[in-house]
Amino acid sequence: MSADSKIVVAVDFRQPQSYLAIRPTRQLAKDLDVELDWRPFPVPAPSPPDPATEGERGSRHLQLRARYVEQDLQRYADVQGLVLGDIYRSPDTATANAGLLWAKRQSHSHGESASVDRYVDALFSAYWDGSFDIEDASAVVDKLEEAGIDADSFDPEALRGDVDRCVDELKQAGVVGAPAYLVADQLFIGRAHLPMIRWLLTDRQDAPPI
Amino acid sequence: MPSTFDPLSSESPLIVYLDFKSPYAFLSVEPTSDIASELGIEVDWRPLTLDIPSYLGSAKLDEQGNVAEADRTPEQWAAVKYSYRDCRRYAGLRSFTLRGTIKIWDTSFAHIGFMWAKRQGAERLLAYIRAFYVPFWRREVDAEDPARIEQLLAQAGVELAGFRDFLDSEGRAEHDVMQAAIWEAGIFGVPSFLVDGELFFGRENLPMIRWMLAGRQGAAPDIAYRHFEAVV
Repeated sequence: MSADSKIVVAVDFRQPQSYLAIRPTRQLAKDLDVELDWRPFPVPAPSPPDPATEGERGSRHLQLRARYVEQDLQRYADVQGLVLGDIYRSPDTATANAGLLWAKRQSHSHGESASVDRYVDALFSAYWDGSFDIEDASAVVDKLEEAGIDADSFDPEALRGDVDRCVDELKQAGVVGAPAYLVADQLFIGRAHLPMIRWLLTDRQDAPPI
Repeated sequence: MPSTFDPLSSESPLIVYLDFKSPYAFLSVEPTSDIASELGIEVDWRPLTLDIPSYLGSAKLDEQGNVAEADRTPEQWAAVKYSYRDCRRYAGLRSFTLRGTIKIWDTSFAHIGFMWAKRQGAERLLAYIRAFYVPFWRREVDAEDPARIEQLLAQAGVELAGFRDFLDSEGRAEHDVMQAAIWEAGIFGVPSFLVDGELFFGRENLPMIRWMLAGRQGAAPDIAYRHFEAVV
């Protein structure tokens, strides 16, 4: 693995799949001593099953799939010992996303990245614990400060354009969902690809992950 | 199909639903077989004929079943392109060629062949599955051509006497009854796996499936596309 290797990780704080990816992604980065470059990428919230639309075949298919996704998320949350709560919430995460870019900017100017990791972890944990209003700018500021990031001049409105540009860049790179990983000139969507990413970053040693 | 067909249970510890027109199902065959050989279990492979047009959204098919018109957004097309690139990436690691499909195939003919091969034993069935999948994804198989299906059955060592009658009558009837039962049971996609009555959709669940089949020892694993060691 080259010394300057890093993994771009696109996440959405309100998306359960992104939440479930945090620990295994962090473990991979730790094992390989590779930096994670977190990027905000809002995706539509999952739609709850709607029994009222079950009559027609196509609608029933979507309902079955929605029900399955809910059960599947719960199954793997249990594996990690995480509590998901309501997976269908769809708050505005603009301030939290601006906070992520702010955290990166501040940490970059100080030549360290641990505070960004702490912000990402704190945001995900607090939101999914159900104890955090992610739309509340002062609450986001608190998380920045808890992560050791100076938030005195944090202005989420001023960062909206930067967030939009960040999302556009990811879309240009082909990102269509989260969590997404950009590494070794390849795009991966979903944490199930972490063995492949590990394999690529360790010079394709051992058997390929298939 | 046995009169006792139950979409959710089997004498085998693992049920796997496949559709030949799904690249995801194609990619699940070898790792599933590797797990089965490692654990010394038999897989109950079953065909699931997806009715893709029913949930394809606004895409339209012409008389031959081709997608003639599709009102997909750029994001939806990007997702489709990603899916194929992703499948190709993993197929390449097994030296399989995976070309984009040219139409939404009616795989019921090939799946009746699946049911015919299954009557001749698990070994013949797996040989047919492999014989079909590999050239089909190189665009070398017309999945709706009975003569081509017969060729692939023969290639897999399956006895053909009586197959054409089965395809036109008994097999078709069994297929349709089976597909209705699968749909009613709530199995909606491929590859789907059933272990201990629990449904899994997608080969990324194979680590969990293997863990369950091996006696649930240690911590349960997360989803992952990973390598499994086959026992030859």
